[in-house]
Amino acid sequence: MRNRKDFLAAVTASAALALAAKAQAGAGPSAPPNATPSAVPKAQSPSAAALAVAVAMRRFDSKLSDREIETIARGIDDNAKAGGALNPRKKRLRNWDEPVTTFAVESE
Amino acid sequence: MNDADLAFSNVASLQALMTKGAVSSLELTELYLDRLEKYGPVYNAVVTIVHERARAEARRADRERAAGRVRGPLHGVPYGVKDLLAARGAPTTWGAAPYRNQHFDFDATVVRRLGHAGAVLLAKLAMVELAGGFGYNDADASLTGPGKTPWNTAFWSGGSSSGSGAAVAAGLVAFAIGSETSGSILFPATSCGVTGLRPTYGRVSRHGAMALCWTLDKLGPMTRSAADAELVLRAIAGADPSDETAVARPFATVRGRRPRIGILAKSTQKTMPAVKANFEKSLAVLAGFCDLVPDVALPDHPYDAAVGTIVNAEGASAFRALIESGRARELRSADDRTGGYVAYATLAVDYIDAQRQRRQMIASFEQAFGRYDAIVSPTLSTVAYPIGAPFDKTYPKYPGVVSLISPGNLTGVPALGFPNGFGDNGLPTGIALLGRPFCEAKLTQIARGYQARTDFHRKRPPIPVVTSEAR
Repeated sequence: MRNRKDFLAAVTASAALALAAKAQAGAGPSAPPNATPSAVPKAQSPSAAALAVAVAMRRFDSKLSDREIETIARGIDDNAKAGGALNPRKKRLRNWDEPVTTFAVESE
Repeated sequence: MNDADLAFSNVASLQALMTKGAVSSLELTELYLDRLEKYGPVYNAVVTIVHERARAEARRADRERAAGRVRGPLHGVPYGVKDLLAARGAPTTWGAAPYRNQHFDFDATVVRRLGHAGAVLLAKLAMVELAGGFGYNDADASLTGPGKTPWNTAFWSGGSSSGSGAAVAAGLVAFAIGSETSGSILFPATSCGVTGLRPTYGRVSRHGAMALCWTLDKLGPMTRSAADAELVLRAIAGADPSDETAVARPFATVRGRRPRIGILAKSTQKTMPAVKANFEKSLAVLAGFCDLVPDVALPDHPYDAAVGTIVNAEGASAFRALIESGRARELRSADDRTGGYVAYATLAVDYIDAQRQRRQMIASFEQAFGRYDAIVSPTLSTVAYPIGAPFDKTYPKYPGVVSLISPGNLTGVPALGFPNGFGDNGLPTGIALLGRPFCEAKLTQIARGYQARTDFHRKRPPIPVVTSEAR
């Protein structure tokens, strides 16, 4: 396994296959969860891993339709793409680069 | 001066009229209450009007003025707040059906400070549900319906501070308070043709405000001029024991020289022709009193990925109870009904990497922009979005190439957006100034210079036709 996402994909792929076959295709793209709207490219069919995670959300709302599950799964795939963009080529962040924890802005 | 002239006056003019005794705070309050009742529904701009509280505060302001006590430039001036701010005696809905009956028995710090400044709270103003945290993709994403810009009601007022923008633009309040996590003041300010000031992170206490993202949320004024924005900001700024991020800092200005402004490189690429043309005209105005430096490049960072990840992770935490209850189903927008679950699945490592990126962004911003008093660009690449169409299907030819909204919010620096002309369908366009931390007064200083030479901020939208249904 190269990383946690691969691991997640492997353990959940089989569980998602049945749903993936059943899921409706062609649902419109959802906007990214930003505080302002922005366009996103139209997604392809969601990954099996994302579908499995999306199905698990039925523990909070058992009425989530297959179409809604597919929309959630596409969003999860978009999250994964954003995650990949955060550290492109794994070069931008070095091991010792710390996160902002208590966020504060310094004046000039 | 007729009622409409009064309603569209700026704060300084209203104060001067009250000082002369030409109008009382109570008379102003009744005028605005009437306009909120009459026109608020036309724009879906209002959630709750607080009639009795407003009248009581106005009477108090008039009594104090008669006794020779004037608290400051906002004394007796009526205003509204985005409905994510707690205010005693009114529901605080956060724009969302699951919170329709939510009440708090205290005033948010901003409301309390405006009260101490003598201002008069008129109304809780409409907003996109949960400030857009769950990823809406069309205008119909609010408990109160899609916000409409007073310039053309077939078009959206912008979000998420939709009602604040529309109410100021339509003369329903003298000024309003909005909030911004990533664009929620600047976007509606542009769509409604008003001035919006997003303060430095930490300048204004968020106590009593709905949290969407603790490391991004800011509260700021939406007004009819840059001068008004600074007056309001000075009244609400400062440290607050109830919000440990809020600090007291001086307001730096440019003295003894011309302001130095960097023009953001590529900022007019893939923008609407009117946006580009108006921006170029604005630069010509700014060149009359500022030194402009072209082609200042935005440092290269994954801003949109970072802001999306942070909004997802912090928003899912802030609304974890809603998500786990299954009541996200009650939200208005179909995207919001599923978006919470998407956010809930955000990987912790991605969130932490986004916060690691922010430290680098802040450092490279200082390196790239530190020598300028402001960086300037069009606020948005288009005019307002039409109501009834998905955002991602609208204006596909004009996505813009570069924007200061995500970068500015991630680095916590202030920005000021104000109108600079009109484009397609009679809709306003806007220009934005981005400043260094705690240098809001430099931005208002530059914008005051611009507004002294132009009149876009004084334009009034058409008077709406009020139907009985709307009332």
